[in-house]
Amino acid sequence: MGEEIVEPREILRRTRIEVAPYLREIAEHSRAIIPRMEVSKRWIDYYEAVGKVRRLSASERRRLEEHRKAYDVLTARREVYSAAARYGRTRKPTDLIALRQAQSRYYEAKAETLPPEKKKEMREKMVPPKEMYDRLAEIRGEIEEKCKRFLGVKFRRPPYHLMPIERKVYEEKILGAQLRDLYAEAYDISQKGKEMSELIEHYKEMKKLGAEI
Amino acid sequence: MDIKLLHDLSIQQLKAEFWRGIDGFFLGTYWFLRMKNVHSFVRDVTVKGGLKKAFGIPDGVLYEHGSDRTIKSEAKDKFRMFIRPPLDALREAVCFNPDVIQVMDLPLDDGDDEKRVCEKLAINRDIVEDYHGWLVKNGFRSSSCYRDGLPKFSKFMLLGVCHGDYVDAYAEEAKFMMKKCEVLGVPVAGLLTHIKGLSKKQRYDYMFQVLSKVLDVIGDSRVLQLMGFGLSDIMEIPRLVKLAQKYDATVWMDTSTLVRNSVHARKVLSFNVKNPNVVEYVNVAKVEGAEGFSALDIFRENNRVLKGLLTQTQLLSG
Repeated sequence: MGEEIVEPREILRRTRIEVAPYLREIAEHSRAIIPRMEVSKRWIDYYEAVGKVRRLSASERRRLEEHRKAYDVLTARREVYSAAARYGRTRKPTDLIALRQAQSRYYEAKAETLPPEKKKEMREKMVPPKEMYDRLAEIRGEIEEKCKRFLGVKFRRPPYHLMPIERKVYEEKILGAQLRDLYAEAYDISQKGKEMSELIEHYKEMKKLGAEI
Repeated sequence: MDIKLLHDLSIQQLKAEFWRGIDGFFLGTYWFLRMKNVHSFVRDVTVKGGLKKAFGIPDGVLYEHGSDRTIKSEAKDKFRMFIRPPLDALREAVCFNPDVIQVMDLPLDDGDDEKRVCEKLAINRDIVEDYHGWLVKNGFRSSSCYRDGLPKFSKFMLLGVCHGDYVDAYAEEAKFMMKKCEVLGVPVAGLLTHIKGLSKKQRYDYMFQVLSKVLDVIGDSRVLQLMGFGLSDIMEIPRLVKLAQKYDATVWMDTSTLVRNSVHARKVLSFNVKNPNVVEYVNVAKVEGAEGFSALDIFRENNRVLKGLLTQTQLLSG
């Protein structure tokens, strides 16, 4: 026997009846999570059931997606609350780790509710600038090449084995100076965030102000 | 009490699915900073929503993002890597969307005098404050805190590394770090390799003294990570388990030795038939039934054996 086919109108009616008590509960307790989850779940079931009977329209598909995301956020929020309560009772590191992981999932679920373009933009904004990576890679390449040449000249390896002695001394001097400059620049780039002296000064000031360092 | 093994995995190993069936993994920045297109790699991972999503790693596997390593002046290839501003490294770490972010730290050198040690420790503390401040500013942590100082909400956990030049200094650092960090790391690798003139037993004794002092301070309130404790001496497991049981501590261990032995040396953890009390790494060619093992097989086998040893030791000492 095949499954009984129910009209979409009938499914809608049943869903509305099922959702009504939860809506009343939400009206009384605006921050309640479980009734909201139940509402989202019912609507997800409704759209899935309708999808079996006929093709969903674009707006229906959008609403289904919204309900799914809302359901994920609510589940994650519920997990956060239960993990926080457990950590509050026990204060164990394992529960702390569980709490942090639940919070991370909640953050992710919230981020999923953003429109895709906005989400991509937010993520891309976090990526460090390309110039920094490029410059460091460039300097690294230059240093590697110069080191290789320097060693070649110093130990008279081919193709520098026939180089006259005056030329060898001159080359060593020039390459040494260039290498020194490159190291200095790399060091500058790497340290431009906060210099060590600045950090020490900051530490002294904080200590003077009575910070518990 | 809980002991977890965190394996130091590279990008290639993650691609080869080394993450299946493990507690967690540690990814150092040195694995990708030397790649040709670092920026596009970081950007790709970010757009995909983090490293776990990009590689299809399940949520249950802990992902710890390492910090840049500083270069020692006597290192052979000092141009290999550069230290970046800590906040740039943090920004990059956030892009990888890990569970735990290691706070950048300055390690102590043998030649450091008293003043230099104090400066370095002060800088380490400043970096921890900076990391926390940046995460709060960018909405990844809440500014409201629990009574013990930890923020009520945090997207990421922080791993603060406690350095020191004597036993109590580690405890002092831990006392400071535990206000901002969920995981406290003790760089034990240096204690086991860099101290000259001490026997192996004395080195391990000193390491356990340090760990006891740190655990006296943090007790069972924070996770203790043994950084670089590759378990090169498997026979020291019972001592560690006893210590963890005494404090009911949660301990995470770096297992670089296990990865190195599995992937490069092709050695499996085995019992010695002539002396069944000894467990050691033995080349696959010498172990019956392990001749055809690939690197991944060896890694899985070693992980399984080590976890089994830890469980057995816990049961026997409990």
